[in-house]
Amino acid sequence: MTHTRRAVLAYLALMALTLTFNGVAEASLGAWALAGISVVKVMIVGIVFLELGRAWWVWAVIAAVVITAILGGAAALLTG
Amino acid sequence: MDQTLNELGDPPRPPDGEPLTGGVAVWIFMTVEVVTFGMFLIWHAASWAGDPEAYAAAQAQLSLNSATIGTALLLTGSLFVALGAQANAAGAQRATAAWLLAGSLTGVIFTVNKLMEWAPHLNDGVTLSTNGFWFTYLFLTQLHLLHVLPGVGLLAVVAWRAWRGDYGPTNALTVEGSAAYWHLVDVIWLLLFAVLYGMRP
Repeated sequence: MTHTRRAVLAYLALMALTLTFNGVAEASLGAWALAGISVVKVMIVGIVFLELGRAWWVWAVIAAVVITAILGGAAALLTG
Repeated sequence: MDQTLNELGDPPRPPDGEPLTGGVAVWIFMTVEVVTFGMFLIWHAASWAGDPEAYAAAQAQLSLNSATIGTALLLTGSLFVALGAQANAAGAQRATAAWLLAGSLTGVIFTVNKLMEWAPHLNDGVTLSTNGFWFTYLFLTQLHLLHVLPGVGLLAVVAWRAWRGDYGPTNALTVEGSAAYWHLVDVIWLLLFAVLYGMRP
């Protein structure tokens, strides 16, 4: 698969997840579901768009921070 | 004449030992930025319990559809700059310029979308000091826009220089760095979109 095709497929997946997020949020189906969708989206952007061949370990740090923020936000909302 | 990306296929991978995509400074900046926004958002979520009715009422006034359109615009911009970086790695300078300029334009439209989203709230008298929710919403979305605007300019300038033929497979740092910056703007927005617009107890 070429980089172009991979990027376009990633984009389509991201758009589908964005619409899914909208539907889940409108239906108030829960913070964990929204957090899960958002984590997948962030990982797709990082892995496909940022091309991590030379930087995967830096991305791992950034992804850990981002995922902690999203999941931490969900946890704080639900347990606060 | 530029070939299309499909005709070019995969650009050659850089040899081992090459610097990080876009340079080390971009990645250090990205890490600091996501830590800053992430801490704010966790603080925001934790603050919800202190004034749950006011926070819920404020979030209900936000336009989820407007934010969804903004998200789609930034994701489209990310696709364009990723294709621009690939075109540059393949030596297609005119295609690089076109993709980066298209990415910049998505940022312009995102800015208009954001101004239209803020306008009714500001007209209703909402300010940073109205309550904790509005402080976080206004402060973080405005701070994010302050990242989008330099990105718009950066992509436009790099597109112009790509059109002149200043870059290419052996001179990719600026193009890759600009693309990485735009993806950072996108990742931060995905954080804001999740915690500010969607999540509630």
